[in-house]
Amino acid sequence: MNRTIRHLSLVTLAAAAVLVPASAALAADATGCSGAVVSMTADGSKLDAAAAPGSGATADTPLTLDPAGSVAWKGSTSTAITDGTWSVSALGVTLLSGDAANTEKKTSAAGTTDLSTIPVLKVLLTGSAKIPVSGSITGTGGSCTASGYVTGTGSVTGAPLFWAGSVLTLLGLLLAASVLTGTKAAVAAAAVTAGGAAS
Amino acid sequence: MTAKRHPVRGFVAGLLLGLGVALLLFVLGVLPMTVAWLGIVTLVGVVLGVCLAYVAPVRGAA
Repeated sequence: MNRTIRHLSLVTLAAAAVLVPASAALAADATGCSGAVVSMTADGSKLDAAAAPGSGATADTPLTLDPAGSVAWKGSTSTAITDGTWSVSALGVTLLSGDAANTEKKTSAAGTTDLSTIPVLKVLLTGSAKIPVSGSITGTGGSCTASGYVTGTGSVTGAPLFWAGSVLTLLGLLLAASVLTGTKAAVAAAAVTAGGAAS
Repeated sequence: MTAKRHPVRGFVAGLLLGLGVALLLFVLGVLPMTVAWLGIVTLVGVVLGVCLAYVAPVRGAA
């Protein structure tokens, strides 16, 4: 499989990671492409799956990914997209991107992507966070866009964001307590100050 | 009688508390991790923090 098709397929991977759920308002979305994905752990055992159109990768039932694992995917676009650009992003941050010449004008592909090559996923994909992801490819002949939700594996307390949130919450509570204890009558405060100055 | 209040301290307290609670809600999977939810929860924290500064009981009042 040539490089262009691999890029095209990465977008399809995003589509497959997102896919179209049947009903819910929080459903994932895919336009101009379809596919399926199976997530696997680091030792190669199956973890989760989703399909587009089909089930999975919604806010209610996000696709579970192992940041040390991989995803096996297959997908297709409605039309052959050539001379295009593609990108995959999470939380609005582009994780992968590139050009897609697709000189062979293929409309389908399959493969496996190693998630451990994307360092930011180790931070995000721990705990139960529901992370919005999206992907797109645009070029001559059409376009494909997709979005949906993924989640991670492992203990919540193993997530760096959990500890960051805990520290911020604790600091906020301490500062709020100081607001409560620091609210004093101005007259009394002035008297204390004056008394302190006199003594 | 006037009271010495701390709205700026309340603002910062609410900001930290809002951000912290938002991150916890994200990690626990209660809310989807989106910029919109981060903004909403943080804003609620800031409003509560500033309100706390203005409604906190006055210590040392007669």
